[in-house]
Amino acid sequence: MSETLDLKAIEKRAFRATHQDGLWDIYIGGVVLSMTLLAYSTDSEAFPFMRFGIYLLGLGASWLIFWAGKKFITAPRLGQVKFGPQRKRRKRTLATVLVGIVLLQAIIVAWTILLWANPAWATRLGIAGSDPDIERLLVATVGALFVGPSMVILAYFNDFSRGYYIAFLLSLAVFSLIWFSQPAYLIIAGLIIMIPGVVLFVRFLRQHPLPTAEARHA
Amino acid sequence: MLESSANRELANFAEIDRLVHEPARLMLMALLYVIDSADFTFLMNQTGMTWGNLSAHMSKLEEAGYLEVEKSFKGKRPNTMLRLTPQGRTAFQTYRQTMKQVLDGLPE
Repeated sequence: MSETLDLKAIEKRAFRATHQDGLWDIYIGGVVLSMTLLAYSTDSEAFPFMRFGIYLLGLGASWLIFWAGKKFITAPRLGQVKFGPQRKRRKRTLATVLVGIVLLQAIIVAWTILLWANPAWATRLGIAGSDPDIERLLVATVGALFVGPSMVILAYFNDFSRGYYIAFLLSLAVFSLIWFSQPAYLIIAGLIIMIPGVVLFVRFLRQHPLPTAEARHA
Repeated sequence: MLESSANRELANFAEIDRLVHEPARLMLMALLYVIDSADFTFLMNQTGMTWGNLSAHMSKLEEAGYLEVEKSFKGKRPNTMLRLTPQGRTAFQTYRQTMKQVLDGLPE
């Protein structure tokens, strides 16, 4: 008998139902598209702060759409649910792992900045990049590794299967952005992430009409 | 000897909790067993039941003490969450064990 498996499947299906509105995809797509503004760098730029401000505005707008969508559109249609202690444990583990990853990334960034500021140290350590192409390849790989694995871990712990292809797209976009110095890759990745989210959102609205007043206030 | 063993196995059928055994309620209890709590809308979405149907089954489970209803307010809106009681959880576990015992012994 496979009762245990069936119960797990029921729980997983219930949990996954909370991701079927496509709002995560729209949010991540929005974040990636906002990042494009930062990726554009021209030396003669007169208003770097304005560009950064627009980037922050994009991030804020993405978050606002996500939050308002969940609160005013998804929740009344899908209903409220609280998951058991196992999910809470997974959430805590995810938070711990992500904090660890962010710390590791911060150390790598700080170390890189230190080495760039002090080329003599890099020479002494024997890791000075004589070939700029190899150096850029290294930076592109590290950049891709910054975003990809974090997203994979997020997808795994949240049973968010679309997160795996989002992770792949993010890694590819960041790698291409650094390697080819072309922000268009971020725009393409952002759109490829966002468009299925919009499709899912429309489908969600069609499949989940607002429940009757008696069901809402039952 | 064989007869008494068969009788013992048949007696297992009598132990099945009819309240849990009904398919719609079984579906509800299985869902509530794996989550902590949910409201009517979520349960309707997950099970595909109508409001009236769900309400009727919920009342039966509540009467049996298998389900507790937690009423609160989210802002100005009433919010009703449904959760299995410890008694309900035990009833569901017992039902699973009984069914396993009954069905495992059946030939292919």
